[in-house]
Amino acid sequence: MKELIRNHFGGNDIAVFLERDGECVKSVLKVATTKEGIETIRREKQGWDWYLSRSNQQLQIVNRYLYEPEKCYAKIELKYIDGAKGKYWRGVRKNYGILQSTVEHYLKVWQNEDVENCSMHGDLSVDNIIIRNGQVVIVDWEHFNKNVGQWGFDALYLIFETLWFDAKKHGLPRQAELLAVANLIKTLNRDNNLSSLQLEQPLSWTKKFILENRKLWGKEVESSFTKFPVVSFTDEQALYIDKKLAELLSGRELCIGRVRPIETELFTASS
Amino acid sequence: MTGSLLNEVRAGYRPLGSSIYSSGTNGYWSCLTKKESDWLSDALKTMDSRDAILKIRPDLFDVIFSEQRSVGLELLELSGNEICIDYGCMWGALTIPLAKRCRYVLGIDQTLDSLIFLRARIKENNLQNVELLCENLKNVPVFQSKADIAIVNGVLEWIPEEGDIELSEYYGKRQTRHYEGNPCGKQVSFLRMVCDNLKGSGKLYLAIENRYDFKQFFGVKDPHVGIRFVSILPRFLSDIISKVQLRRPYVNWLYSFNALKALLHNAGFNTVELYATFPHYSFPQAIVPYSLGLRHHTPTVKRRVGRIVERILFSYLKLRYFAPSIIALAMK
Repeated sequence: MKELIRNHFGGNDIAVFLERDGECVKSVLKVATTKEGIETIRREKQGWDWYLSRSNQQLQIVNRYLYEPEKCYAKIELKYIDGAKGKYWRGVRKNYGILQSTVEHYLKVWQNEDVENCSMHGDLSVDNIIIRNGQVVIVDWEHFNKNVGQWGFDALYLIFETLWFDAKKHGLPRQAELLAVANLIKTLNRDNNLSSLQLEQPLSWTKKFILENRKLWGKEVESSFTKFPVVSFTDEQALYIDKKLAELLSGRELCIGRVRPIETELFTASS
Repeated sequence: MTGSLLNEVRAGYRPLGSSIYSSGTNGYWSCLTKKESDWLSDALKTMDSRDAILKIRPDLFDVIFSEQRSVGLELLELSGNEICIDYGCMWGALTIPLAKRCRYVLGIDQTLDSLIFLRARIKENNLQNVELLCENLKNVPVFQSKADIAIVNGVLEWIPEEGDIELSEYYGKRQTRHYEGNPCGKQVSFLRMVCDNLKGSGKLYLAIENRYDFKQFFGVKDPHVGIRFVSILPRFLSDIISKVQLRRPYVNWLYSFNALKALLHNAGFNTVELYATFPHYSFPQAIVPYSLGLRHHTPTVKRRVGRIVERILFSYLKLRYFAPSIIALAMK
């Protein structure tokens, strides 16, 4: 039996159903009947194809795909992924294991991508990461774009979106959180793929990229800024965080203190 | 098969221009006053349907054109080969999306003005597979040719009504009216006709407000007559209140989940699947199989107090019985 869980929510023109067999969720069905929604479904399919071809995971995710723009209709049926995930609002420290695993995963999946014209997930959030058998699976490819962004955008977006929830609690993130972020950026720049601007002003650069490329997210970014917490950082916050991160990244060894095991960050997942 | 249903309509009714057939006994049920309907018809001569509505009644734009409304059709698992009848199609909120995905749609409504507007929409969407029939829903015959899908969306509660209705002059307003027969009896007769017009494997999609919608217990006005508590009170009490306040009996009967299921069985449907729908069947945000119960309910109403109540009733207590609306899928 089908269960509708979301319908044209937050400027996103798609309806999401769960296909249930009694208690058990079998698949996730995304349906669109508008031009924008149909484009979203097409991107989702394109994103999954791109991702699965690069992530070395033997997963059969897309069960069914129907793309009929002439009938104003598209749908994609995705296999339900069993696993665990974090809670983005718990901030950087309490999601550190997930963030670190995802940055490592990003380095693998996005390796050999053109640094200037890189493919982009577009909504890489803790909420869209599932840990399945100890491996990271990135879901929700509705905002996928091929060859449009700067390498590193998605990973920086993930880090700063999570940091925003720390900043929300305390006004400004604390030293421990900034250290964790600096460490993640350092890992991300292992192969020196980040640009000098990304390293000097990582948050301001990420925020600017979203604002200058709004069209990549369609009307969602216009109708629901809260979906993009990174944009919600004030300029003063961004300046302070960038300055602190530049100091931390500028040389000395980063010590982020005790790191909790990743298991403590995970909760029962739903893709 | 498509041809035979169309042929039957052609044989039994006279054409009114292209795509519309009529018995000649038009009624009127509309959110628009008759004057507004005339303005709308005039506007359609010089502009498209969207601009016309924006000019005459912009508040109805989403009600007519929003794609959110048709999402429940996904429950029907359409293959693209179906012949459908949309009972009470009005401006085509479901007729148009259905026609885009099915072989043939016959839209039936008693209000000619609504059908003229819908015809304009059909032309704008370049749809060749829709015909419209102007007929009182209680007089629709049992056709020889049967349909795969029947749509009864927000219609059943209006079946007991008699005479013309301009909603703005009806909702919460005093209007002396007389009715014959029991509202439930009329609703069952209508559903029997719907059932008889379906193939053996056909499906009915029915959407209606829940009689025990939680909001009714908090004094929110009944969405059909504009009086508080009438849907949840015993019928005879509602009748008395309505007669005192509006000078007419209360006939827009709603049903609980179990009562609706019994009603559909009574009308000839053997299998009935019920869905609890939030916040309303018109713009559903959540449609949950009633038999599976509620799991992770997120409040859907806009008002803060309503959200708190919804969270308590549905997120914590899982009281699906008080869901705002019901969608029923029924098979013969």
